[in-house]
This record gives sequence, C-alpha cells and structure tokens, in this order.
Amino acid sequence: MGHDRHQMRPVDTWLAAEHRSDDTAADAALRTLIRELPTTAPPVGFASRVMAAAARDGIVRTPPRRGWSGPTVRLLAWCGGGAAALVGTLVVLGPVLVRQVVRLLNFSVQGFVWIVRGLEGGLDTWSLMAEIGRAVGASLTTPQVSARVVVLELVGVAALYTLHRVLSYDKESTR
Amino acid sequence: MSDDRLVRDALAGQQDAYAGLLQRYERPVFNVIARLVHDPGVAEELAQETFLKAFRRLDTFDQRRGFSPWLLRIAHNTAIDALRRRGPQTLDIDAGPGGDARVVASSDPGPDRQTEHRLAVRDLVAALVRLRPEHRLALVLRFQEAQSYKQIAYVMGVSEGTAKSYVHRARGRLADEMRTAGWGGATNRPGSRSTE
Repeated sequence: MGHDRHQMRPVDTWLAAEHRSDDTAADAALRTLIRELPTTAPPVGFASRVMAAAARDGIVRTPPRRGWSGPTVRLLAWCGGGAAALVGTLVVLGPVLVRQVVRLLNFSVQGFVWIVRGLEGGLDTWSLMAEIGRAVGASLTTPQVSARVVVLELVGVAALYTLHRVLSYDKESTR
Repeated sequence: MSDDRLVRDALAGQQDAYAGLLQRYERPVFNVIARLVHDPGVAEELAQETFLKAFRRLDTFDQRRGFSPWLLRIAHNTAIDALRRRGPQTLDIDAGPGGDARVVASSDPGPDRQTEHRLAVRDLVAALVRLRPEHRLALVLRFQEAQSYKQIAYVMGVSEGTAKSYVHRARGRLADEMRTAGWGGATNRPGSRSTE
C-alpha cells in the first residue's frame, strides 16, 4: 500500500506496543482504536417492533386495570349503606328509644311496687299474673308500639341481608 | 434507574420497565450480533429474538451476574445457533456494518487526518471481519462493550483463561493483518512480536 501511514499515531502506537510485547500499552492503544470504530446501531423503530412482538406473544402483559373492581365497589356500597342506615336509625330513633327505656324502667318499678302491694293486700299468684298479663297486652297493642316493633324488625332484616352480602363478597374474592 | 430495579419493575408487570431495558441494551446486543453474522437484516431478527427470549426468562435472571453479561450471553448463543444452522459462509473482506443498520460516526480529527483515520478504520474493520468469530466477539466484548474477562467467559460459555486467550490471539492476529495492510512503520513485519 503506497500511502504514507506514519502519521496515524494510534495505530502505530498500538503496533509498536505489540512489537515490544507490552501487553498493557497494546491493550490501551487497541481499546482507543476499537472504540473509534463505527458501532452497529439497530435500525430506526427496532425497539417498538420488539415491544409489539412481545405484546403479541403475551410476554409483556398489559398492566392490570387500576381502580376498583366490581366486587370491591359493591362491598363498599353495602357497608356504606349499612352504616348510613344505622346512623340514620340512631339519629331518628335515638331520642325515642331513650324515652322508651325510661318508660320501661318506670313501668318496671311501678309494676314491682304494685305486685308487692297486691301480695300484701292478699291477692293470690294467679290473679297477680293475670293482672300483669292484661297490663302488658294493653300497652303493646297501641299503634305507636306496634309501629316501633315493625321498624325494629325491618332494621333487623336489613342488617341480616347486609351481613349476607358481605359474606358473599368474601367468598367471591377468595376464588 | 439501575438494571435490577428495571428488572423488578418489569416482573411486576410495568411495560415501561421492559421498554427501558430494551432502550438501554438494544445497541450493545445489536452490535455483538452484527459482528458475528455480518448481515444487518439477520442481525435485527436475531436481536429481536434475543430480547423476546430474555423477557420470557426474566424471572431466571440472577442479579449477581449483572444484566449486561446475562443478556449478551443470550445474544451470543442466539447468534451462534443461527450461524450453525446457516453453515459456513463466504465472507466479503470489505463487509462490515451496512444496509439499514445505522453506522454511528466516530470523532472528526481534521481534513488530512480524516483521510488517514478513514483508511485505518476501513482496514481495521476488514481485519476484524477476517478474525475467527469467537476471537472477534471476545475482542468486541473486551474493547467496545468494556466487559471483564470473567464476564466475557460467562457470555461465551468458556473459562476465564480461554476468554483471555481469545482476546490475546485476536489482538495478535489483528496486528498481523494491519501490518500486512502497510501500517506500523518500522514494526511493519507480520508476526513481528519480540516474543510469542
């Protein structure tokens, strides 16, 4: 080859080091030369083609949908509804319930006093029980008491149904 | 973000992590494969196959090895399997990167030195192509991809001593080829080393 190569120092540096068997210098010089060689980069669009192929083959999975699943939403709705119903019941019926408890206590005390006086006055046990039965029956058959009993029963039914839905969700989520 | 973190995120299903690993390593993988097969179209196919294999086996990746050697090992094995299937090929001595593959330009030393540099690069690339595939790969891994001898041994599936021997022989052979091409001045004698 005719052209003058002597000014190509990196190549000459390397070859001189090889000639001297100076491995360290030869390594360093060759490293500089090799790093200057053109590297082969992938063609434009290579990365997206690989990702498309990976998705097609199911290797790269679509990430799970963020947000709440159906069963979770239903559970939260039921719990929320149950809590709201409970709070609403307590707010609306709380004062009423307190009054009823007070009345019941008052009724119990009066009843006890009546029983003691009756026994002291000579009434027999059967007569006493008949009187108590008539008094209790009369108080329960008023419209207000009947309505309250019905409401309490409805609240109980709603609570049982909510519990049933919660238990059903628990079964679904562990499948 | 570290390779280990990207791998963990990818295994957790984050698509961005797969894309991150791909962007980080597409060039070295493609470079290693292209140095072995010399055909840019085949290199692209094999590089894609390498990444798909790596993504499928991501759960087997051992963090102690490092992601780069692990991935390059898959690339090496994929290319070698393809070469074995193709059988012996006639090499074009001027062959090198070409076709749709993009050649990334090196530094620009100035007009006269540019010509010298271009000639030197041409001769060096031609000499590299004439090396045996395992010697060529060892050289590229050592000097372009900055892998240690231990990592080169792992990538190529050989002992560390063999990896060192490949690099040493490749260097010697390359030097002979460059001297034959007229480089080296006073040391311009093929095989001219003081000791072997």
